[in-house]
Amino acid sequence: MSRCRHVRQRIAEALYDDLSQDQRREFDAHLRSCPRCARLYRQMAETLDAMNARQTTEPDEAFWTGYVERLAERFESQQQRQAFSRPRSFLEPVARYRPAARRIGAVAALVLVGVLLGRWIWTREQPPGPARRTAVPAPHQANPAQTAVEDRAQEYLQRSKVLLLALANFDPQTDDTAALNLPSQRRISASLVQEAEYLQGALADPAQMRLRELVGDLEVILLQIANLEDEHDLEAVEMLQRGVNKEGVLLRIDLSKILSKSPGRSSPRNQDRKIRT
Amino acid sequence: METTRPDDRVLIEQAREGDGAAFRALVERYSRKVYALALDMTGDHHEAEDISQDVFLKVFGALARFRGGATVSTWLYRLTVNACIDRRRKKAWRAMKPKGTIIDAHTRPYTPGRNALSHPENEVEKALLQQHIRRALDSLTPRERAVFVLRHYHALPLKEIAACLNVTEGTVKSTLFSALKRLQEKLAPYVQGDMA
Repeated sequence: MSRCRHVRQRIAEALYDDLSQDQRREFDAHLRSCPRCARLYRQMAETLDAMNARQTTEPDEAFWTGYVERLAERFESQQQRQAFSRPRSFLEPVARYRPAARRIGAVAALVLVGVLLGRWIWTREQPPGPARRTAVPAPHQANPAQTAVEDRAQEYLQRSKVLLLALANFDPQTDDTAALNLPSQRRISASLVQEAEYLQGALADPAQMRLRELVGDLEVILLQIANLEDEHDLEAVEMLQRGVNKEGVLLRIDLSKILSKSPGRSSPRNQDRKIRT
Repeated sequence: METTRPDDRVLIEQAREGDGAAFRALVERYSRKVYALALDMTGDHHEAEDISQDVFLKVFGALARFRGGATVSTWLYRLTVNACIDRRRKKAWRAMKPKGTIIDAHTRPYTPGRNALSHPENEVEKALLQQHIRRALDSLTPRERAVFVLRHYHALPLKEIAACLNVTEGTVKSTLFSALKRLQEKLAPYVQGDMA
């Protein structure tokens, strides 16, 4: 039986002629003595024949003639959309602008961090008193409904974070998949996906764009968890882990929480707190 | 995709230095192959064009970072597969409505006579076969599909597929086997071996 398993693992290689001569001899000898493996091999070979019958239509030459031009047009429009990036021709030098763009990006990031930190520290250290009221600008009057949606979104983010932490901390090399409790994760993810659908509709204010995007990105990951078919599909779990890392989702959730608590934020609840202090 | 010719790297180097003609040559050299892979992965011409262009835009943005650890073709295949998988994920959450069961039940396949593949007697039957081949391909996971199309339709060696997908050769072998098994199950009514 273990011989059969060994041979079956090689069927794909045999079909594509990827076996060495010795391996092939061994493989063929087994097929001669094992009707079940021989049948599986035959079925798979015929499956490949069926897949060879697949027909695809090739685009005509006109498609390819205009391909580079269409690509160039897309490149131009993409460049125009990007903030901080100087529009440049599709076929212009690449390297020339890269260091400058990096420097601008780094400076902009530093300024942004400085402004956020400054606002945070400044609003914390201001002494209480009437002058405080006039010093705090109220750039955006959020209505209570928006605040309620944002609170609900924060709750969604925190629930998602718990789920993702369990996934991120799971080590496929050493941990048992049972520890991950995928059936439960799938169930929770499904309910969170539904919540995300609601939130994306409700977070309609332009000021909530980042939060809406984060909810949307999380929804993609949660949906993948909800759709994990096999509890032992470690490959899918690893892919999800990479997705979580790549998107920096956990960091973005933390950042979103910090910003939602930041005194500089203009939700009525925060403004009330400022006035009371 | 053929193995990297020496001038691929020269083209990359020239494009990095700002030679537009070199980048254009690179696009012209690989656009059909990237497009074909995207088409095999998605089954949709519009998406294939869109994805292939995404890939070249990414390449353009990443010229300075290309260190030559992989061949240019491997790099392009990797970007294409990743772009297809990303797109499928994004499409999946838009298309799926998680109410009770998340994944819609698969449409029950039409099952004509068992020898339909061997003797497709009319155009309708041929069209149905194409439909079932498409469905069989759609039933694969993105990773399985990538491995299968790279091996079967693009004739890439296992080692190169492993490099494209950034996995071990052993993983490629087992993924290929599971892909074949799934295809075989989906197409069982069409293959004679099932009658044995």
